[in-house]
Amino acid sequence: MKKRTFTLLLVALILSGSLFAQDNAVSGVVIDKKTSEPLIGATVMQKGTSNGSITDIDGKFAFTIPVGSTLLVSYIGYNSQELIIKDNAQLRILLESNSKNLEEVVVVGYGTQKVKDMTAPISSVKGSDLTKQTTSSAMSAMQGKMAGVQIVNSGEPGKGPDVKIRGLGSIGDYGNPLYVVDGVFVDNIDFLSSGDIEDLTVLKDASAAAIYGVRAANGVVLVTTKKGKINQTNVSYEGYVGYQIPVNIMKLANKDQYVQMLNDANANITGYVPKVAANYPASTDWYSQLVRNALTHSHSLDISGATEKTSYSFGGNYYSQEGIMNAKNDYERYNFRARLDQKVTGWLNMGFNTVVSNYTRNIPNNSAFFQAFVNPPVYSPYSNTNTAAYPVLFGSPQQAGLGNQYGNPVATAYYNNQKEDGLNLIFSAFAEFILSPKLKFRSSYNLDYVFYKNQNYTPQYNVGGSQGVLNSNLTKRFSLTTKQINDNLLTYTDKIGVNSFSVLLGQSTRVEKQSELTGTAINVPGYDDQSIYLKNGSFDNRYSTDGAYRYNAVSFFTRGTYNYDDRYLATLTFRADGSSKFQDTWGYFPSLGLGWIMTGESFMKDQTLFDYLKARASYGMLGNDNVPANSTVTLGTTGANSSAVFGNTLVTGIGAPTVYQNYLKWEVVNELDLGFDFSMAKQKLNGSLDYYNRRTNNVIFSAPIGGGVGVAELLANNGSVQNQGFEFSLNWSDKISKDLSYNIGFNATSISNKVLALNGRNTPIPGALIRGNYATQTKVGYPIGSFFGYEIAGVYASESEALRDPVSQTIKDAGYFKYKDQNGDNVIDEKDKVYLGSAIPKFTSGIDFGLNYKKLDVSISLQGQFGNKILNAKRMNRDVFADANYDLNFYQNAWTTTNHSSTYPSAAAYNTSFIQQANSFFVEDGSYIRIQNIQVGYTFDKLLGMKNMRVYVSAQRPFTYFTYNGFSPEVSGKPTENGVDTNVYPMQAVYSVGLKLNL
Amino acid sequence: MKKNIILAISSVILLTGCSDFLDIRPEATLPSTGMDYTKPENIFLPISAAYATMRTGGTHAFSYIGAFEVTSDNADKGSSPEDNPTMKQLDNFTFDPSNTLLNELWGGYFDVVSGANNALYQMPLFESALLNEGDKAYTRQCAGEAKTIRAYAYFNLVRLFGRVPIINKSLTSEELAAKKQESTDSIYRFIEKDLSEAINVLPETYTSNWAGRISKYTAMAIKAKVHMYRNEWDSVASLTDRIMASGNFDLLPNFRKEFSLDGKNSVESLFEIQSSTLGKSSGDQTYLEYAFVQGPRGNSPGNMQGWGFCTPSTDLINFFTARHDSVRALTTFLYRGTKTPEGDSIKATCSNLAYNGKVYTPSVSNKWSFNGYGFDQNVHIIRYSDILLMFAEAKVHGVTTGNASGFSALSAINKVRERVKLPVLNAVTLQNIWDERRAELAMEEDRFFDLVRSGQAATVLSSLGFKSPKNNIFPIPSAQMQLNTNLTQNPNY
Repeated sequence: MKKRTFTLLLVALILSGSLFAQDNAVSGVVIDKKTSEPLIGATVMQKGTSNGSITDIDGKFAFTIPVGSTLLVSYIGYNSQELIIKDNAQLRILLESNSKNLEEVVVVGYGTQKVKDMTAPISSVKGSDLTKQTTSSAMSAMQGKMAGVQIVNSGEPGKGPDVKIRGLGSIGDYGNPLYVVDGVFVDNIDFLSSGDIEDLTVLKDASAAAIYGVRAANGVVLVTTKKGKINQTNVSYEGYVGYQIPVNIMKLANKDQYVQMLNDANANITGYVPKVAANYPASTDWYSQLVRNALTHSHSLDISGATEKTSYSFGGNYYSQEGIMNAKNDYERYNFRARLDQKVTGWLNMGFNTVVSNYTRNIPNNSAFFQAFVNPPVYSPYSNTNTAAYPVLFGSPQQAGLGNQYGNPVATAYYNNQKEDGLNLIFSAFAEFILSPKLKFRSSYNLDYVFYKNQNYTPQYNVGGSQGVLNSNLTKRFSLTTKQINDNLLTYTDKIGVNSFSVLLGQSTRVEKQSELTGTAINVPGYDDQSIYLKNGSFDNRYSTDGAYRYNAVSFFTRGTYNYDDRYLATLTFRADGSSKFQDTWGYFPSLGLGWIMTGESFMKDQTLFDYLKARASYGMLGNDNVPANSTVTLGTTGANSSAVFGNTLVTGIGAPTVYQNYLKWEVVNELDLGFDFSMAKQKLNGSLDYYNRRTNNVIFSAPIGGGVGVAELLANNGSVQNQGFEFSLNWSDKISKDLSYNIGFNATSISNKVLALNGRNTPIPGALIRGNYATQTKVGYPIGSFFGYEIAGVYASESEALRDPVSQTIKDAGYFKYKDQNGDNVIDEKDKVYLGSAIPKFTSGIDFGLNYKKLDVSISLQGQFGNKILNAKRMNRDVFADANYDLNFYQNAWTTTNHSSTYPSAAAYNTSFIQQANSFFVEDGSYIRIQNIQVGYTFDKLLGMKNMRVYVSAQRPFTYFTYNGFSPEVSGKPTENGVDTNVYPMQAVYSVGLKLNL
Repeated sequence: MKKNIILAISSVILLTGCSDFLDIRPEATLPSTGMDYTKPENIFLPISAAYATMRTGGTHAFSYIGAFEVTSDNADKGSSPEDNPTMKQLDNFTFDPSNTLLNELWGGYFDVVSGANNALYQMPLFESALLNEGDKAYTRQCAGEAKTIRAYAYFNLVRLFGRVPIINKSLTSEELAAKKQESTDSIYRFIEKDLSEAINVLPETYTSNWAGRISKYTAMAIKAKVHMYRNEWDSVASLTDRIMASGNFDLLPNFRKEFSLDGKNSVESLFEIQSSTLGKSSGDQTYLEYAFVQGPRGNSPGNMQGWGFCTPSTDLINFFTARHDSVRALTTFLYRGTKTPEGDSIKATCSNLAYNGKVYTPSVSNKWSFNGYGFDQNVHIIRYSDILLMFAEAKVHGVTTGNASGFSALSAINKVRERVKLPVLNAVTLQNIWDERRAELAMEEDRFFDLVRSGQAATVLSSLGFKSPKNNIFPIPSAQMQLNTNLTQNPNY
């Protein structure tokens, strides 16, 4: 590896030495006059010759030119400029825009491209748009902002969102997009503050993403951190303080309602003595005991600037969020970043960039929310008479005569003490050799360093029943992951007449390593945080274990772009990836994108409808190696679970599963994209429309297998999946007067997800084993992880009606569901279970509205998703919790002798396993629509010596509409058991005031 | 372009070096095969892992007591009335294929089969790599243990589910998903072959540090029981006779001691599933929760209570009273509101009248930090009294062979009765033996299938909801039928 890099460096040095031995070097930078942004890809030529250059990512150029000749600087969408060269000056050229949007430059894989030249649908947002939302993670702020990008957020502090780009292609746990932060591959960007981000680009189709073939199968998110801007010294502060209020808190039955339902449910059980509400000491609303209002705040400081030779950017951010669970749960993060780019000589640029992110997270015990759902409301959270309880006098469900399966939810939340401290570091350094004005070689080293320490401490305590711990216990885990990448890129750009083209040749080497060490001890005194160490625990009963993975990868890639006369565009990419994770080591990922700027044609000259119209088509292949590194071979099993006991002695053993592991190949996406970009009404209206069809072949996932081989599931290339749909986005912006402008944006995405094949398996892949049945199944012809079960035809009104029904089912009685006999054989059995929907939405959409009047600005954004289902698994647990509480909705709607519901069972039927299986009662509609953010701001210019100051008030997620019987319709999960709600951390609305200062 | 050529050339050079870079063995793992087969000390590693597969929740804990005892007339579900409807279904025969406890048993016992299969795959690799004849013989002896383990798992599977697939080697996942069921006759032939081969190679005894390890007599005891379920009485008599004639086994004088921690792997023990905390108070799961789930419910402090499932039925208590079977009753029943001879008070506020006294573990012996009741209790699979009673039953069936031990049907059953201070019988009928089995082996997960095999189930269990012949076997779990569509359901389910 090193040898080759060295060879290239040597070649670069020799070449550069010869080229720059000439005189009359000219260099400089081309800048947008209005925004002071560098202009990338502007043409700088000696007039009347082919001698010239194209500006780089920082707007810079350098080449040689005779003194006294004329320099022509041109850039599409800008007025050209000419100037006479006097000496070897550093030039600063300001170009004025002659149009708007289309000349934007976006970051693409290993480079940048003008939007106009793209053959791929790329969506990009500015960091300044992301900081408008009061979220901890930049991806959370993306919710509803971009067509094709689906975000499922969680209310839990510090917990990142689930992100899916263009549906669900991977069935395993690793269907996440690839994130590339300044060239570094990372698993998520939760460690970044939105304020760190200059811009964020999502590569959706094969033409754009195939250059990242190795991991691009589920889309690529490119993040560029902030950079200094030419001749502009910027010192700014941005911050807000927000108040979080839990919303959509579920209502449960109160004591009287609960007792009434319980007595109804058990009326026919022999030996059951009806309960009397008055005998219970309390009527507790467990959910309201478990939530609270909480604070969040964020502060960012940015200092950046640039001269002709040096650009720098420094920043810091502090973010803090308390959890809305009424217990110890919060998230705190400090970020620092520094970037320096230096033009060392005319032929060498060097720079480095680093982001350091420190966080502390107190992780809540979400099972308290499930306990709150099941715990009867009949006892108090605290009880002075529960003398067995210590150190806190919590009330015990057993005092109220309840079984040991119940635990006091407030105590569960209280005695949880799980904390994670982490350090994420991103470092990248590069050297760029300008071998000639057209040929550049760039080598970079990128490091992602993730360290965290997780500690879980349970103090000695007792509440009652099984809820208590005689000996305190402590588990600590230290984990270190490093990902190192060396990229070597050679780029050549040129223009011959009306033919512009570029070629990129690249090579990349990756090494990823992870290791962790876990230790446990008991009887650790919990005086304070300083005493919670393993060494302070009992000498006996200490355990430690460790683990690790490593994998290596090598890639070669190339991209060619071609632009003929700003009318015909082509992008060709190819990547070859070798990964140590697969027995079939090498994967090959080609792509082709074509574009036609129709408004550039002479026959379009006369029409006035379109200011700009481009048709695009792309097709290509993308790979996914984001599978566990230790999964391709049958491994021995060790430890106590593989060791025999004889008497009181453990004898070491090594076992192994007796299934032959499957031969693992690359998971590959074949993606077709057809689209249009257009601009109308004097560029007031911009939009794009895309059809996408992604077919993932050799999908890798673990599927359960039958008993008999010692493992419950197995990883394999199990099938193929198709995602197809349309993406549409439309933006209208207009300036009505000098003082008043507004914009409206709309985006919509349709997703149709379908499993096409399961590689010869004639059985579906089951998931979500609930009550002895697989409630979700991955089946050919249906979306991944669909819900299957009985369709409810009604509820029997009486026993005689049930008996008259010719269709037989296990239990037929008044108040029981009458399941639909799908195959008409008069018997309800497995064959009558049908598709009941999927957790994948059919349609997602977002709307943005913005208005500026003088110095006042208002923005409103909405988003929603439609057509997805949620399995209400909280309700499906009554075989373990037969005397559990009821949610209010069930109480109000349950079938009774007086209320003959046709959709709800009776309380008695609700307790039977026959009702407690996947059926259309438990599968509910998960559609929702939400006001994501409302913000009103006012900007003061030249205030107290500052450039400007903006103050704003904002409401994040103030309102959500949904019908699902739960806290939140945002339920994430593994693809094969997606949308199964067992205990979801509730959502919160955030009301905040914020401030932005530019000094 | 010159640079591109150099790049291309260096790429080729690189590619040749790549195969080493990309072919790395996973970190922090052991290979499943390829352990050092030349080292005799490694022979027992896979055998040990096979033993460990029997120490699981799926094989010998909650679901085990449910299917083997709660189903019988000996025991009720226990716990509080509303608690665990899945177990309730086993108690009153309302279960269907989706019952999760049955699926746990299926998965648990097939994991035992897999553990044994892995060991049986590895033993010949050792045998061919080792040079010393003694070591080679040891690999064959160890294979005998694995075969006994596999036979035991299949004996439980065939009793539980009737027709199941026979898996005797490593499979691909496709083969597994298409595996067909075998007839019960084939399965029994498979079991008997494994056991016969095991008996030929296993030693008669081990040194004391191997307490509970499978010996020749363990395999013979299981085989005798298998033959009893097949009504092959000659084989039952000859195998039990050989065990009795060996002189290696006897009844402990004190019945109660057999069920105390001092009675673990006693002279009475033919086969026990080993469970131990290893004297620790927390850590790895080297124990079973078999006793814990049957511990007295609501009996604080924490280490003296369990979930209170599988409680002795009134019918069983009355049966003991009518027989004046007081010695065994004292140990079999743990009543609430009483004080044990060992000095523990069982609170009157416990949820149930009585609990399984055979898993009773005094508080001084429960050292686990929480929920540790009876973690050191082994699960009795076959005791010497079972051997005596099997022998007696074979003799009552008129078998004339198997006389080396000098026992008769009458002397065998009376040996069991004398120990617990019951008057000797002067004549013995099948019903005498069946009743003696019920009293002697109560709460030891023998009763339900004993009723089925002796043909008593239809009458004895009908009032509990048992339907004959449907409930002679349990349904194939629906989860398994979804994983392997070649499986067919048992009749009437």
